[in-house]
Amino acid sequence: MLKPPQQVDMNEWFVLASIVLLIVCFWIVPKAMPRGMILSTLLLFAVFAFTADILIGVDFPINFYTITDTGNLEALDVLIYSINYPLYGYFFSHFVVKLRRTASLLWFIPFWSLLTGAIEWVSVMFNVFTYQKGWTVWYSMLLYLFVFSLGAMATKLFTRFWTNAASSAYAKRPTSR
Amino acid sequence: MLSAITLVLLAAVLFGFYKINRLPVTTVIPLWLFIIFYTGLLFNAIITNMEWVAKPKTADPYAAYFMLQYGYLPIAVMCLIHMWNRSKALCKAGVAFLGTFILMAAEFFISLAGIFEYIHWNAGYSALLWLSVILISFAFYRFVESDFIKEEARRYA
Repeated sequence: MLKPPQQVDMNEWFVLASIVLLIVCFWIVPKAMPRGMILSTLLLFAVFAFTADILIGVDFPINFYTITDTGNLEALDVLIYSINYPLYGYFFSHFVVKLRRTASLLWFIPFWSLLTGAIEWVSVMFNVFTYQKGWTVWYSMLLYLFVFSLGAMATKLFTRFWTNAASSAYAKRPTSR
Repeated sequence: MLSAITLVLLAAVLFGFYKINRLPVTTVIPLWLFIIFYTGLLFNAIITNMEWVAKPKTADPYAAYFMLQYGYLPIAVMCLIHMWNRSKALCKAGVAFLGTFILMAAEFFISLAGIFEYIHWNAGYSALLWLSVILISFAFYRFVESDFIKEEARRYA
């Protein structure tokens, strides 16, 4: 059902190395959210990435880039969707939660979009992405501005939902006399 | 036209779901996202790798297909979870089979509407697909509702 890589070359090694790095960082960084919110954040960024790719990275409606070796869904693509994008998005949400002032997002979202664009540029060098039809990393950055703005709004909403849920659970806890 | 009808119906279905839903929002969010992600990978593999089903290549049915996958399907599975929660042990398996049948019927009528096209597909594959979607969603629901996820959240109060 999932295609294996055509040949294991530098894009596969780049993806595997980034997976290891992201998992190590995730393991090390102290968690700033409850587990349910972490799970939702991971899934949110997986859905964002997957949706963006099926909208602009497959044959219809538009096909601006190819991920890894072919336009098919390869096993490595599933790893990218399930590990790379969610963990990278999680770190974005981690900082959004940590930033005390909402106004700080005005510089943080453009900064994170630039950083993501730079990482994408490196991944293009390693043939993880192959641009087509005039797509460039600058268009990706514009898309990232939109995606991370949505991500920041979702993170703020999630924070409110999970804080309310925790408060009501705390209020309902059994008291001992 | 097809997407406009799907959108209007989706608004009605969302309103209905909002009224009947008993699941907490902290369960609905991960479950909804999981269903979109998991079925997205599954459908994408079926369409692009296996080429058993052809997805629409024009804007109107494509938008309708998108709404079905991102809106209707998660709501349908969460309604089944409601039924599953309210059923006794023996009936729980029945809910999974009933859900499979309902989703198979829905898939058939959606294909008649021209939202996607069968190439090498049959009812057996369809049953297997929907049964696996339902069972994995139930398992994920149990995981989200487990103490590992829920109890730990109280520490953040």
